[in-house]
Amino acid sequence: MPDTRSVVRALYIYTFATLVEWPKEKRTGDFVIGVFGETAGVYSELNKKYSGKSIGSQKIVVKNYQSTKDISDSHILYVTPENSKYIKTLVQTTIKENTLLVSEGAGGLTKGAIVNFIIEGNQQKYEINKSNAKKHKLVIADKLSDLAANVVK
Amino acid sequence: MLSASSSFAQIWTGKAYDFYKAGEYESAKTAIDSAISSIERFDSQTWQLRGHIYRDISNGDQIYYREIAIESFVRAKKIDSVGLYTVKINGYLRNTLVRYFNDAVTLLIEDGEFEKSEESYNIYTREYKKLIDPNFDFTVTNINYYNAVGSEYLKKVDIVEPTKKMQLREKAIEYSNKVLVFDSLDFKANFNIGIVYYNIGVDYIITIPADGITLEGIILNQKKSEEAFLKALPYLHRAERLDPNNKAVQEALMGCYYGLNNNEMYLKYQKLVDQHNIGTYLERHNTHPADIENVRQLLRVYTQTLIDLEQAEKFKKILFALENP
Repeated sequence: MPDTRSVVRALYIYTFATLVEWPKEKRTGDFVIGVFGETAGVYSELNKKYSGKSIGSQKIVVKNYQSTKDISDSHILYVTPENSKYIKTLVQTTIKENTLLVSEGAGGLTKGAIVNFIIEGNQQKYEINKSNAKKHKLVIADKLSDLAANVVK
Repeated sequence: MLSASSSFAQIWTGKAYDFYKAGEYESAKTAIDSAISSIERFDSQTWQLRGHIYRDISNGDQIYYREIAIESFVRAKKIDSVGLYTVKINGYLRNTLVRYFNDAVTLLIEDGEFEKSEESYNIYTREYKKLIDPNFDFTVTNINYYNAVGSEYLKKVDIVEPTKKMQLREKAIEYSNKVLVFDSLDFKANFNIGIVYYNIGVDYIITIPADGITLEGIILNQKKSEEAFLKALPYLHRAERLDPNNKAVQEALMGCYYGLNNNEMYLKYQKLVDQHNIGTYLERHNTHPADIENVRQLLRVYTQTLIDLEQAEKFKKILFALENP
């Protein structure tokens, strides 16, 4: 069975990369998309579709992390649902790295994520916490906010 | 074939019969055509023999000869005013007409000539009703034939370029719907339509191009995908009612609900599918312990559907060891 959910999430994550502005110091070198959780699913999709491609002049590198201590400098960090209990801890480390912290499931934004995947009707959508984005010194494009299912200012 | 009770000497017909028996069909054809230009044309048996000769000239494969054979049998029946040979001639007609049906099947399955196949099939049913039995019930034959057409269109979807897929899927739906007109509870037609819509739903997602995709594009494709999955559900649930333990149906329903982000229903069908598959996964693990994908499946099964914490822990450790050699 094709993993349609992971395909959609991976596509969303890639578009987030094109609609968020990182601080100047993060606009050189590789563009790192990290996945904290299983290697199948979203990580596999991202790796297959985007590894080696570019965001602007930055080459995309997709990394997988199995434990919080392995997580290093990422532009985007997607935390799989089974690891959502670590989000609060991860907020501390990702703030200073200006990481776009992406979670999935109820309460993700409250725990500190900037973008959270949710299900609305039969579709996968996302919600945004602009205040969390600001703390990470990230600028969210209007389009990303406009098409979000929910925006927390 | 020729009886001794003919009312007049059958010179040409007799000759034709001898040639026919000897397998000399061209000579038999010349002789029988002479017979029908003579007084012998008033004998039903002459026309019956002509039918046989023309039918067998090319094993009935050449439509031109086949049509002459049918015409001859029809003429034989007409001349037989007392109906002495009716049953026999109907049998000859049936054996000749069935070649149109056989052609339809060959054109469909072996040659992939869908339109020609249907043309041949229509000749078969139309002529059968006209020449043999106007009340013959073709319901079962129609169901089998249209289901076969629908299935062949489905098979072809897998081997054509992406731009042609939709056209073939529409055809598969069209022919499966023809079946449903005869029998709304036909399993295969319901299943095939469900599968077509399911595949359309999947394609709307997995064919989204990786590059240049926009948020609007993701949202729009999800919407189209959702519509297709929702269209699949009634057909698949009907198929499920008709064959409750059918794994293929359960897999399709599982895929639809997964695509629709309906976890409760997805897990219900995932569990049913896992019950079918668990033996295979375990056997595979015994013979191929390093198959990491299989171990992932076992871990998923024992964690999500056929929950067994002890087994889950065991396969979690095995997976970790395989991922970190």
